[in-house]
Amino acid sequence: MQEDQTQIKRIRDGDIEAFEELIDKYKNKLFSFLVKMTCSRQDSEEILQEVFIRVFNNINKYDDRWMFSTWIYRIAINTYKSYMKKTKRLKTVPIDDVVINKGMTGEENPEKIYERNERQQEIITLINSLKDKQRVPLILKYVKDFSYAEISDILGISEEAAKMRVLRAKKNICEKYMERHRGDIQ
Amino acid sequence: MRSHLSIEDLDSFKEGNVTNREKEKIKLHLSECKQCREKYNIMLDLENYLKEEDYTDIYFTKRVVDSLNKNKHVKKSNKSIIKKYGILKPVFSAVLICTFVGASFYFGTKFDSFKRNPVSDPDNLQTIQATQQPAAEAVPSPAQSEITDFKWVVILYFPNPSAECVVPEHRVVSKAQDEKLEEVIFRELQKGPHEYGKEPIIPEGTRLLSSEVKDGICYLNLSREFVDNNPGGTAYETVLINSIVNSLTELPYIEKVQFLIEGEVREVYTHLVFDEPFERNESFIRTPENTPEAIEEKIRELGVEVLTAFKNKDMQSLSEHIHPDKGVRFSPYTYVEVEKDVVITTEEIKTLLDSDKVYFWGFYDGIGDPIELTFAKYLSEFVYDQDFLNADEVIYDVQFDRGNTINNVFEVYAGSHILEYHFKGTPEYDWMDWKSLKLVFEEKDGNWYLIGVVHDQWTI
Repeated sequence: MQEDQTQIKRIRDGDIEAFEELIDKYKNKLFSFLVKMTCSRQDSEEILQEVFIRVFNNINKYDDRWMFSTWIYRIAINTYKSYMKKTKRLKTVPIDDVVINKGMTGEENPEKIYERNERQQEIITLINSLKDKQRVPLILKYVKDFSYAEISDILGISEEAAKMRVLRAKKNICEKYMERHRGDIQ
Repeated sequence: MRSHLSIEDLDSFKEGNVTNREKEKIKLHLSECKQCREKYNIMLDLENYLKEEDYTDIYFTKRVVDSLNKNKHVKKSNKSIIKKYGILKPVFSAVLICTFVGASFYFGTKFDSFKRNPVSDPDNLQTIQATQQPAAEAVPSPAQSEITDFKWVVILYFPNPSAECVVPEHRVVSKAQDEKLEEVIFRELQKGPHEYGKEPIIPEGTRLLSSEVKDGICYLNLSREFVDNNPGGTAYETVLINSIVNSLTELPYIEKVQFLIEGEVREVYTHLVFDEPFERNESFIRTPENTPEAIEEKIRELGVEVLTAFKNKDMQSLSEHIHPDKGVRFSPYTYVEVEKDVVITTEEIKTLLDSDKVYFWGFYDGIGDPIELTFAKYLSEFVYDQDFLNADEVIYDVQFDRGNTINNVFEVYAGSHILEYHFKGTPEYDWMDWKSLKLVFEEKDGNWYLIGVVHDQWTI
């Protein structure tokens, strides 16, 4: 946290290298977050670029009393929202293959891989079917391993509300999945 | 068998937040109950999926840094140099504008009058066209082709450097007698923008196979390359379509554009729905008046005017800033109650200061008593209760969640611009005596109006 503050001071003084370091430090986590939000690497990259531009342009408005990491996620969420609004994306988003076909190990047989991808695909669809109110805290919780206190800071809700929303999100997903597979699981 | 395990149970079990006894019980249950085991597995799969890391490409950082306005934050010692540049910029643009105004003076007036007379049949345009010829010599044409019969000033829209909007470019073009104007526009778009020296936006190799205008809809029949060589990305597509459609709908007889690929209607481009005609999208166009910087400046000016009116209780001036259709909503705390908060119209506000009418504005934080006040009382208690004109900070469009109250201002007023006047408070009260007043502005017909006044202070 102290490191962030020194970096921010340097950026405010016009040190571009400090900003580069800041990008490198945050980009992959933020990118993972956005990929989970949009299911598209392309969109995520565009949003992320905009996030850093906003951070750079507004760095003077950042209040040192807050944690920088929560501030930047707040910007990311706002940028995501305005991006979705701007591109007027109401139709369902096709999920990038890149998002799914990862994490395969050579040991598994093709049938298993197929099964696993199917399952993941389904989980992704269920995540997307959640309302943002639950979806955003859920993704924040596991992508960055944020504490409920941090999530409450980012979303401006109480810590209890953050915890409850994450739990409800999980419950929703599990229940819907079970519902769909009622026949398979006896 | 006992009842099934809840998600809460499983979550605590996974996080290790259970006693040893409970842990054993859950374990036992999981080994016996297939349903709960499945539930637990889904939960684990879900978490594992979310934890998977994704990586940006290696050029990402460089791309971002390249697109920054690096003079935004400058060391104090460098400022004088920047200032010198600062003076040069307007001079340079003034010269450009003069050149342009000179060049387009002749055409401009003609083109405007042509635009004001909607012509439904493109053939009728031929007559207007001929009158434009004399001016041709006065302007150095950027496209000196063999066809010098007719000169036109067309407005083309190209993406700005960060490709989030399109900016107009006026261009003098040549047109052969048998050529259609929409074809000329498409051809010019393919050449790309002059100003930024950037790559053309239309996918490489695209050919315009034919075009036809029927009932205000321009059917633009393009070759396969328009799809095949599309580099991808929703943002790219959006800006590309806006570039073409906005340029073509500058023509008075075109209202919408329907794209055809090799003569066929295509369902989706690669992201966008493509089987319906596109309409002109004004909100995607950026002119010098609607750059984010210009809007911010405008909103900040308006903020001062509104605050001054509040301070001086000048309801006449205030009424001019209030949204003519929506009125203005007053929220005593930062959680905006869309249905419950008091909304006052432009007309009402003019005389409200002297009115005895008591409104119900919400509930006092903490004690929970209803806030029942006349407008005048509310103003002094929940609007201008501090000298916000001299606030410690004036924050534009950045959300800060300061107290315990949920700040839903940005959610409720999405698409608006928000100014926050903020007093930081004093160390004496451990900074808890901070106060904020937020003014929310919304656009209507190119003007910005006040639609929300949100008061904020430390709440329990």
